[in-house]
Amino acid sequence: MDNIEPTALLELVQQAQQGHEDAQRTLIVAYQNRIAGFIYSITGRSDSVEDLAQVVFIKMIRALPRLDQPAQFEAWLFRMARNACIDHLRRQRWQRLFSPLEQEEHAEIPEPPTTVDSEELDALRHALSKLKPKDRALIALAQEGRSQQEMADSFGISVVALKARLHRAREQLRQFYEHAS
Amino acid sequence: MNTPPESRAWQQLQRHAAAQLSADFPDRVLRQIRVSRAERSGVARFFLHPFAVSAYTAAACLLAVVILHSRQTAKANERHLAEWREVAMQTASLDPL
Repeated sequence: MDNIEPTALLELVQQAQQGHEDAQRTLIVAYQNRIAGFIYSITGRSDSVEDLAQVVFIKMIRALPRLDQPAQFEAWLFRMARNACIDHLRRQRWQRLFSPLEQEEHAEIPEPPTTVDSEELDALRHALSKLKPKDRALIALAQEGRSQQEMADSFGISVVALKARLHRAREQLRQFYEHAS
Repeated sequence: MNTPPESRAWQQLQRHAAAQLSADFPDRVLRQIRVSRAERSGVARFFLHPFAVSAYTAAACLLAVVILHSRQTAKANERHLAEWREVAMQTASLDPL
């Protein structure tokens, strides 16, 4: 299940807010793939996807009753996912700082390509890994079709600044991608 | 409209990421929420148990007694010290030398 009509989504969110487990499950099913893709594009690690997605959806269900504008659900969910990814990367950076020996086992080291992956996917993964985490998040949000106003609000910058930053990030991504492919 | 060269790769990335989720992912999330709710209510039950409430009350009373006692002791010490100073001054003034 990928797209729900706005009115159906609104109803679903309201039911989930009231604690209806079926509605909560439907919301998870509806968004799990998009959230997984979003997380993967920011973290670049397959082994982080399920854990972080679980964190995001647990936070979502716990915080749903406090969501004042159910119509803003999607924007709210992706903001939550973005924050979870940035926190995760920040935690990893601190961990590496205090235990540098673990550096070889974890994190920033790009995921090795598998035989199943295509060259295009490898190139994109490589290109994303060259960007700053916040730029990755920006591109992932844009890829998700979030509006510029929403992204600007989420990053606490003006729409003009956001456009410039997004343009720069996309250009960098394209260059790294073309170089890698 | 120009399609970016990496657009097909984005679709592959999406599929790859989605494949990382286990088949029972939604159930796992909901189960985890139920478990943590049960744990939290267990902790709340523990802290609201009548024995626990009695223990907090007793501990609070004991703390109050200790604080009160230490304040009274400090005041008594100050008073005694002042009295001793006065006695010492009076003794000094009676000294024939």
